[in-house]
Amino acid sequence: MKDFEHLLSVWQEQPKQPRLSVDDVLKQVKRGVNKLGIGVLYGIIAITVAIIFTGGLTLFAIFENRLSYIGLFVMLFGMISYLVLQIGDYRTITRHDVTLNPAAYLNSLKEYQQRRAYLNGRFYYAFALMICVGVSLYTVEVFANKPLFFKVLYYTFCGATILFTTFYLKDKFIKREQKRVSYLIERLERLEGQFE
Amino acid sequence: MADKDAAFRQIFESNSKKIFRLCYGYTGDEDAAHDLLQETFVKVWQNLNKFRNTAMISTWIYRIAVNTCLTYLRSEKRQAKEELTPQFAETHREELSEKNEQVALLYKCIAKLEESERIIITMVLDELPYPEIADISGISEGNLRVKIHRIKQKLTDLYNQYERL
Repeated sequence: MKDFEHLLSVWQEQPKQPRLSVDDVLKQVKRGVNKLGIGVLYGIIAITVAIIFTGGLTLFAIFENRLSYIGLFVMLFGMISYLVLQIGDYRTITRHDVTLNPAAYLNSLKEYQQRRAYLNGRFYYAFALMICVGVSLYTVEVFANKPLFFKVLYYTFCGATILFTTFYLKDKFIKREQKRVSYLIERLERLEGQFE
Repeated sequence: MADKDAAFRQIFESNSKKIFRLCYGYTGDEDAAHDLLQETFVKVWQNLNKFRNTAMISTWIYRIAVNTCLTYLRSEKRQAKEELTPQFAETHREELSEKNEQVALLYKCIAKLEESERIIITMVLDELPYPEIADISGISEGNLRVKIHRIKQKLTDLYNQYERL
């Protein structure tokens, strides 16, 4: 029959040593972490590149038909709204450090979950509509001299891309992220409860 | 930057062993413990400038490590410790000396505790003062004493029970 003092001596005499060197850790710390935040950051970078490209087109390309400019502005409005929401999401998820303040991080995570539900739900359909309308108006002049076959092919491709993104890619991506966020929330809540 | 590197090296050398044990006690998996150790020190590095000597640095690092362990959420693929430890002990049985067997058994028993109990008991086993454990775990000292007494009893019972098998 062993007592707790025996367990204490077993623990303190254990030969187990970390095999991680300080140099390995230093290499890692200079790379940084935060996977959820990095995912949103990639989204911000991608949409920023698209805005710069569309903005450049609006400023420097010359169109005769006013519809082309309206189309570009509609697309820009949609993309800038998307960017603003993404920046808000990024700030929400990086506001608190999970290892320093788990309770505050849990609240941020819940807020993030709500924000993403809006971005990937109602807002996404408005965004897709704005991009469709924008592209349609923009291409009226740009494709004016193109053969009918080309126009049909282009619009079919655009339509197929939007349908594929909306009904397959978006769902797949959202489900994966939702699953991860829900898992984080569930685990943090359970642990919070244990210390009460 | 060179000063920060030097300070970090010193902090790592003096604290990594205890933090590793804490992480190993929590996960029961050596690889996961290394991941958590690394994650803890990444956070230490990132927040080193914010540390204002209002608390002992070891307490501060412990708090980060405890929170890192508690929010051990990196991948759903990882199994719970309860499933990993017996398997680990089984596959490494031939390598285990008597002392290592006792250590493996102790980790196996710690694995049977609740997550919050695992964290507290590893700090008790590392002989951290009670006020420090209370500070790190966010439990009042009075409640903590009662809780520690209960966990010690539970762990000892588990250890004796497994040892008889």
